[in-house]
Amino acid sequence: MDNEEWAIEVESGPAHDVEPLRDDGPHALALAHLFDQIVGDAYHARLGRLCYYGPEVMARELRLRADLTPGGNVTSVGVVVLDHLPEDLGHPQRIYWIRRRGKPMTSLGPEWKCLAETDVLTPKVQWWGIWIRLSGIFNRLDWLDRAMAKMRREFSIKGHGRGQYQLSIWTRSDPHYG
Amino acid sequence: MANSQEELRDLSPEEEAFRVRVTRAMLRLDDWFETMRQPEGYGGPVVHWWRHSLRYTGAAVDWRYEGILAGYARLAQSQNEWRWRDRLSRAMEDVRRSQTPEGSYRASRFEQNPGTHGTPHEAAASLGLLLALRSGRDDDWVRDVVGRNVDHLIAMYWDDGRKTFNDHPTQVGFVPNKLATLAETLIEWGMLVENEDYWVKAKAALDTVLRYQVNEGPWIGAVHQYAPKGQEGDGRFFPYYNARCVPALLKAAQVFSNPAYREAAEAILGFLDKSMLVNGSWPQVVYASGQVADGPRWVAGSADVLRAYWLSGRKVPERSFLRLLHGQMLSGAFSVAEGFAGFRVVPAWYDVMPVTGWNDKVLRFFAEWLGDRPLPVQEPQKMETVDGAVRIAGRQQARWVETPKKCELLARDGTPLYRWQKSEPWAWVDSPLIAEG
Repeated sequence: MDNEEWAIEVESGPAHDVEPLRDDGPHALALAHLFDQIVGDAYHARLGRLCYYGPEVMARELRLRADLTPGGNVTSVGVVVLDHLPEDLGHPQRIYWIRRRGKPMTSLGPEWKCLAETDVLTPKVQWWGIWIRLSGIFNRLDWLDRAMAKMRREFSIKGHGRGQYQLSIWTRSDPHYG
Repeated sequence: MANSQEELRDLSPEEEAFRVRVTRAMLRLDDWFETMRQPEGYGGPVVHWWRHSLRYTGAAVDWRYEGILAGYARLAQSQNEWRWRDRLSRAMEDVRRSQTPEGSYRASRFEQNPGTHGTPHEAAASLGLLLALRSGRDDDWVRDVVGRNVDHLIAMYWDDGRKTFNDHPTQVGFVPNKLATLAETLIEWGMLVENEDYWVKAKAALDTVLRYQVNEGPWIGAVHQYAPKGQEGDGRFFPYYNARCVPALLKAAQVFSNPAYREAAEAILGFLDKSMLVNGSWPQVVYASGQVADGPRWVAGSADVLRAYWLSGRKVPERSFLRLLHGQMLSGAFSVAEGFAGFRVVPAWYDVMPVTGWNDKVLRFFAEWLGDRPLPVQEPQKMETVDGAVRIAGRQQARWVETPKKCELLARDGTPLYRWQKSEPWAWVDSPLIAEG
């Protein structure tokens, strides 16, 4: 494609031993939510590169979006990491930390501040999933459509919650860093 | 499009005045489209019944290019003016540059953008390119680009066992309205390359559409939305998507000299007559059970329904045409819908979102409806700033602003909730609730 030279570059970090996220059904939608938010933020933060620590199979979704996104300064780097932070992160300007439910969040230290937290695939989605199954049993497609709309509306929320995935976006506390 | 007798007929003062009104509306829409341009093509957020794509706002080659290319091609053909030829050339280039080595188009999934392999979006964009050639253009590269895309679509979706197209490369399931769009592309492509193998596949796709048309009972003529696993239809009838089947069926009736396709199109129009509401709109879904999902009722998208009437030679329902014209906003764009979150005086903000992939349908319908006569208004019509109250998250009120450069959703205290600079591929979103609520 013509824009490869100007797009945000995505490079895979060293091997990062975690299970891939599921990419079927609502999990595929969750991935889209997560990566849209990450690449959208990277664009507005004028990052030039994203360093990705996670299963290669998921990197495709990240690259798809980054390829369509003009890159900023090539020395401005964001780290996208799944579940646990690697010991050596380098010197990024941003950290995009995706955690599955139950995975602990460790402190990043005073040099980092959290800009945003998003809870994806929230418990309410599972509740609406019951309605979706009931609509199948009673053959009520109108219920199904209504439940699907409600489910999408409550699919992700701002803040820390009990969803299947949490995304936190971190920036340097010192605005003059780098 | 309009026949020669129609073109020669003198218009009454009322008809002439209405043409002026439609022309002005189209020129304002054209000016708004110019504000949606980015270096790679037409951008903007997407709202839809299935879901929205509000964060990604970059250029996308989905079905927006069907209407944009067909509309500007029609204007380039009927009006001897550089601006229409220029707009057409530029849009054609957008599609060419977006093609991936495998033959797909970049960001082709509309409400699931920026994903690729969108159905029927890629076929629709290719159809737009093929219709562009009707304006007298002779771009050799169109054959390469469309050929690669069509062969890619066949490789991905053709089910040789069932002799039709699935909607997913690895799952059996048919979506009739998408099959209709694909069939129309295959008919046009088969004509261009004089290869009837493509027509065989077009007929197969349309025969699947016919298979899911209701033949008796209260919903006679309606076509099911989906046939999971290729078995029974799902009992959901979307008037809008039914209308999307009509152009392909009419074209097939003519090209294949088979009246069954025309009869199927007429039966769909019968369903559209029956499901039309008093104000000239259509509900989103009519269920076989008799239940109705009333909203959102498309405004810009209704142009595809009106076009179905017009192509069939029927009179376009006047109240629907007036409703469409009434749906034009100060910006020049047409509102997406009414009733995304219930029907109240203050619209939901999704109702008024500026979406290129709905407004292309209006451009195309107006360009075709205006025919070959010279446009009664020539001077460009400029877009104006939109600044009005909208509803978010139910009853909560906010302010929606659209200028040539940006769109903004502001809370009552002025706090930004959503901001999109029109030149940018990603919008800033305060909260996921804003993006999906």
